[in-house]
Amino acid sequence: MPAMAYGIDIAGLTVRHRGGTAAAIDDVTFSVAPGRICGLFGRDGAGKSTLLAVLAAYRRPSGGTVRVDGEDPYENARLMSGTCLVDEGGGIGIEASTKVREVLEIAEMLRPNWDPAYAEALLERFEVPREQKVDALARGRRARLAVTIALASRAPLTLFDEPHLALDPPSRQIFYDELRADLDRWPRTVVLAGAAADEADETASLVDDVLVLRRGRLLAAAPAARLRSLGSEITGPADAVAAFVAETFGARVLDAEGGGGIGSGDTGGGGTGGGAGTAVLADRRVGRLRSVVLAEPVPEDRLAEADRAGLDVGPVPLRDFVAHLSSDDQREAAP
Amino acid sequence: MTDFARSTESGSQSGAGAAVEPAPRAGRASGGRPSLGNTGAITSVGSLMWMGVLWLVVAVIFAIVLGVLAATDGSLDHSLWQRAVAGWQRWILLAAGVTMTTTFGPMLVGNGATRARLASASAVAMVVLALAGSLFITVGYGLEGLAFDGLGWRHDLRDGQDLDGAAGYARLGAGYLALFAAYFASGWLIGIARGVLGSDDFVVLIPPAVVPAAVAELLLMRDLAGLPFGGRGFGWVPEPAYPVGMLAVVAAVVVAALVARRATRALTFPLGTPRPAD
Repeated sequence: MPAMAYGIDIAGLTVRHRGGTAAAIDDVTFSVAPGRICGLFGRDGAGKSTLLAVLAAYRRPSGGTVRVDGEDPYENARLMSGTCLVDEGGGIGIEASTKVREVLEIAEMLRPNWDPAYAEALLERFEVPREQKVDALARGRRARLAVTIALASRAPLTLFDEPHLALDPPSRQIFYDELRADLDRWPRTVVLAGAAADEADETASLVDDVLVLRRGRLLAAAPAARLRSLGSEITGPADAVAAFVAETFGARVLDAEGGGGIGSGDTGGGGTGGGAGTAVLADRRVGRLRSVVLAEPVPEDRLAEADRAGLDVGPVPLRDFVAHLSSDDQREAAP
Repeated sequence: MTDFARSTESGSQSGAGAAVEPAPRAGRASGGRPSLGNTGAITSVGSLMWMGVLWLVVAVIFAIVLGVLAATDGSLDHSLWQRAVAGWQRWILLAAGVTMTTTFGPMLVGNGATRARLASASAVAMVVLALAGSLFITVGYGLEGLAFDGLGWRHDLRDGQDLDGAAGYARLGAGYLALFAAYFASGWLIGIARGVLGSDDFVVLIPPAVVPAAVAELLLMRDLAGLPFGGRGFGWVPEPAYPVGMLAVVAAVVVAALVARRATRALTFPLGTPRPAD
């Protein structure tokens, strides 16, 4: 029986397009352990799709090494058969003129772990008509077909190139529920690519690891919990928040109007330098309340003071960290 | 039809969207593999689905025309099948060859098949489709011959040759088999060239890609099959004996298949995305 979850080991991966000026992927190194759910974030053009295409052996890298389950996936029959990559259109395997039913029949013929009963149940849940041609499906329905294929394929390495982002909120919730439940039964390695920071929040409860790409470079590769622990969210009366931040991290962290800018400094890279270099990931006001998200943890010896000032200190929402890291203003790599 | 197809068809009767409940948790894997049998079936049957419809339409129209001619006391002394149907079928095979990369490439690789398997499946389709096409043409000649006999018409080919019994039909069928395989191989190479080089640059590879088709046109039964180009400006090219021409075409097809298999490894998916720089 083949391994039910493939690990990923990438070292110095570089992908240059012929005729292109910049590398689509530039010296990227990271590992994902078997059975993990990895969130891959970055703006459009960050290199997410290219990275997934390399993992799925759709294209050859220009440099570096790619190992999936310990082997090079390119033209590797075992690994290609055990890898499933879908996008919001369903993936490259979908011929638009075919019917949904035919798409599933083809998948059943070729996918070793295909579960037809599960695929049928998912189509029912997602309300995708079987006899309709793929090109007649609305964008959201095509995305539902895409996630159906990915889930029912039960490939040891399952790659989602943003199909879930084209789902309406109820369908997206169904997808997350199904993914979580099916992974309990069929553990496998999953990479969920997302473009915007909002998805980081939605997938926060799902992902074990986070990768952040910007312009082909890897800015962060860390367990999600570790990323959250690198920062802090301070919430409370606006004046108290401003005073506490000034005393703890430096007077210049928040400007005179209290509008700290996202990406105004380093993320800390795991350190706690403090001072004016502390990045403000988010600064929100609701009435007299203010919430400031910083890319630094609040020092232990300041927690009591925060409590006395009536402030809540908590972990950073993943969304804010990802937004900051993938921002074009970002200057330095995080952990 | 697969069990899954049957089950989905029956499932569709109940109406989509009625149930909003968790998907079953006790499903079992019953999928296949990207084996040569499965991938070859997909490329062959997938092509025959549209080619079969086309041939059926052509046959029906042909029968109607022949019927009208017979009913209006018209007459023919040369094969209508040769002039109206047989000659352009090679383009259908050329198109089928192109789709091996454009249609089935993404479909198979996107579902976990290697490029090498894609090439093998394309080779299977080449044989199956060339056989099917050859059968279609040969049976068409045979049925036309029976009809002409019944109507008292001469059943000659364009240059006055007659199909000489079973041996003649076998020779004709084998010739079309090789011809169609050659055209399929040329289309296959063109599709790969387009997949590898993109829609702008692949044009430079069309001349070498059409070599198998050109070999078949010039060296194989120009007279009997009524090839459109052979004898029309190329009459000065000596036509070898039938077995020699057949061997030359088979050799060209085999070489083309080997080149295609090799070149397929360079395909980048999705097709049309920039190629990686080395």
